[in-house]
Amino acid sequence: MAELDALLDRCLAARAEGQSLEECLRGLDPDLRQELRPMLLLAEALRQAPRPALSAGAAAAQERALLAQAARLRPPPARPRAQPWNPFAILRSWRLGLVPALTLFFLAASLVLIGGAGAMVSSARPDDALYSFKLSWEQAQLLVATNDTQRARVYLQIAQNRLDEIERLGRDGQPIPAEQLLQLKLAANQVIALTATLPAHDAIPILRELSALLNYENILLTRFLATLPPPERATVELALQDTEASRIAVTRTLQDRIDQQVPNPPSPSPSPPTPSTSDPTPPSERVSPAAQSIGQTAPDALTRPDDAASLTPAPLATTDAAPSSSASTSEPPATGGSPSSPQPVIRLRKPSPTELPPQPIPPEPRGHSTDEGRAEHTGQSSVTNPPDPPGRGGQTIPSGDDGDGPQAGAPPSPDSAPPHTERTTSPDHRNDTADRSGAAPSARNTSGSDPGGATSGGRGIVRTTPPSADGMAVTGAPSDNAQRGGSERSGNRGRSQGGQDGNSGQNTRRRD
Amino acid sequence: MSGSDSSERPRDGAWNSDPSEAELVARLKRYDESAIRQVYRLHADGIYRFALYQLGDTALAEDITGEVFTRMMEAIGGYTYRGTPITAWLYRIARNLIVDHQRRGNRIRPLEDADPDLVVSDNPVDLAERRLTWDELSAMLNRLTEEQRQVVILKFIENLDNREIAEIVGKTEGSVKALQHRALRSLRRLLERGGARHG
Repeated sequence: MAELDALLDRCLAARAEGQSLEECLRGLDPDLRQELRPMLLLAEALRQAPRPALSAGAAAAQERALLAQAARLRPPPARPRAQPWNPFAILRSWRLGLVPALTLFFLAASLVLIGGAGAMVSSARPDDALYSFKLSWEQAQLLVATNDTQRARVYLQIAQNRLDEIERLGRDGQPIPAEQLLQLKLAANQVIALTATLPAHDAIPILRELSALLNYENILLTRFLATLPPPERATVELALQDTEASRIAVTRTLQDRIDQQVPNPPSPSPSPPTPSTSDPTPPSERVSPAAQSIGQTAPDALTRPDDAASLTPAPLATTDAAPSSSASTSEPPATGGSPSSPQPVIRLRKPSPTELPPQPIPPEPRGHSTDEGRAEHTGQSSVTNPPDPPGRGGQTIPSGDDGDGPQAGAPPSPDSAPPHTERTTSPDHRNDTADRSGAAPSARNTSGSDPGGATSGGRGIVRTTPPSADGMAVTGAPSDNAQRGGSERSGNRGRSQGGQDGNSGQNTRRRD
Repeated sequence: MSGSDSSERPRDGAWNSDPSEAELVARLKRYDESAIRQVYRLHADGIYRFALYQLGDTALAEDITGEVFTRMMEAIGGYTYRGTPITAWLYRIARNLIVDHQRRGNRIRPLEDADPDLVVSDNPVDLAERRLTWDELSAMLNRLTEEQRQVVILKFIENLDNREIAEIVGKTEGSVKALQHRALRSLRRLLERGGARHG
C-alpha cells in the first residue's frame, strides 16, 4: 500500500507537471498500472471539475465590507509626541503677555509688602515684638552698604532710630533704657569714625546731620531729665555728657572738613567783623557759619526753619562753657576765619529722625572725650583761642575742640572768634532764639555758660545767621523739639547766653 | 470558529519564508487596502468553492467566504508570518467555520442538490475525458469522508500542495498523501461498485 501511495503521489506530481498518463505509468508493474490508472484518471477528472466562483455581486459586496472593516481597524495617524513641559515654551505662547504681567504684579506686591513691613518694623519700640526685626533690618542695611559713606549713613540712621525710641519712651513716661542711650552713642561715634575717611563733600552732610541729631538728643535728654526720678537721672545725665562729648567731636570734625572745603583766608589780625549787609545780625552776634552749623541741628529742633531768619545768631558760645554740667556743646571751633572775614554760612540740615540710621553700637569713637578737656574754654570763645573779643566770654562754639583754637591742625587765628552760634539754652529760649534776626542775645544762652552753644541741655541751640554768603544755613533739630527742653535747662548752661553779651564783636566765625 | 486562526508551525517542517508573502502580510497588518484586495481576490473563489463543496449551499458558502476574510482582518493584527502561506491560514479559517457550522447541528449536506440517482460513469477514462458535471462531482464527493473530501478538494480542485493541505487540515504531509490515495480509491470503488449510469 505504501508503495502504491508513493507511486500514486509521484504520478500525480508528474501529471501536474504535464506528463501524460502513459509516461507516468511507464515502467510500472502491470498490477500497479492497473491500480494507479483509475486513480490518476479520477484525479484528472477532479482537476477538471467545474470551479464555481463567488458571484460578482457577492464578491464586490464582500470586498467593500472588508475594506470598510480595514478602515475601522486601521490605527489613526501617529500624533506628534507630547513635548516635555518646557517652562520656556510658555514664553513663546500667546499667553506670554500674562507671564511678565503677573511677575511684575507679584514683584510689586512683594515690594509693597516688604515696604509695609519695613515701615512697621521701623517704628517698633524696644518693648515691641517687632523690635528684634528692626534691629535685624538695621544689620541688614549695614551688610548691604558697599562703602563707608553708606555705612556712615546707616549708622546715622541707627542713631536716629535710637533717638526716636528714646523720645517715644520718654514721651510715654517710661524709663529710658541705658542700652538705648549707649547704642545711640556708639552709633554716633561710628559715624564720626567713618566720616574721618570720607571726602569732605561726603562727610560734611553726614556730620551735619549727626550734629543735629546730637543736639536734639541733648534737648530731649535734658527735657526728660527733669521728669525722671532720681534713680534714673544718673543714666540720663551720663548720657548727656556723652552726647556733649560727641557733639564736640562732631563739631571739631565738621570744622576740619569745612576748612578743607573752604579754606579760610588768612586773617592777619582780629578785627571787628564787617557786618554783612545781608546779615541783619549784629556783628557781635553773628555766628560763623561753621559754628552755626555745628550746633544748628538742634536749633531746628527748637526753631523751625522758617524761623531761621528770626534767629539771632548767638554769640559764640564760649568754650569755657564746655560741658558745664551736662552735655557740653560741641561746637565746632569756629576756626579760622577772622571775624572780620565773612564766613560762609553753613546751614546744617535739620536732622530728621529718619535720616539717622539705627545700628548696633559701634566701638568707641575716636576723640570721644577729647573735648572734655577743652572745658577750659568754657566761657570763652570756643574753638579758637585767639584773644577773645571783648565781651565775648561765654560764647562757645559748638565744636568739638572747645578752646582748642580753630581746630586741630588749623593755625590758630589771631582773632579767631568762636563761630557765631546761636544757642538756646532751653526750649523756652529757643523761641527766643528763633529770632534769627537778632533776638537779644540774652534770649539765648540763658545760662550763658554754654560753651558749646549747641542746643540741648539748656545750652541753647546754635543757630546760624541767615545765610549770607553761601546760604548755608544750619537747621536745627526738629522744630517741635524746639518746644521742649523746658526751662530747666535755662539755668544749666548759660554759657552761650552769658557769653553772648561779650561777643558783640564776634559775629563771624573765625577759622584758621 | 474553533481552532486557531493564527498561523501554526507546519508539522512537516518549517516553512520557507516567502519575501513576497511576508511583505503581503506586513501590508495586511497595516490594513493596506491594496493588500486586502489582493488577498481577497486571490483566495475568495477558492474559499467559496471549498465551502460550497463541503456545505452544498451557495449562500452559505458565500457567508462562509465573507466570514473567513472578516476573521482574517480581525486577526491579522496578531498574525505573525512564520513562512506558512496565508492561503493555508485562510482555508484553515474556513475549515474551522465549517466545523463550527456542523457542531451547531447543521449537517453538512454537501452537494445535497445532487441527484441521488445520478449515475456517474464507472469508466474513469470516460470521466477523465469529459468534464464532470457539478452533479457528478457532488455525487462523488458526497461519498467521501470529511477529511477525504477536504483533501481531495484542496488537492485536486484547488491545486494546493501537500504541505499547504497538511497545514490546513492539521495533519502531516504523509497523512495528507494517504488521505488523497484513500479518497481516490474510495472514489474508484464507488464508481466500480455503483457505476455511473448513463441516462
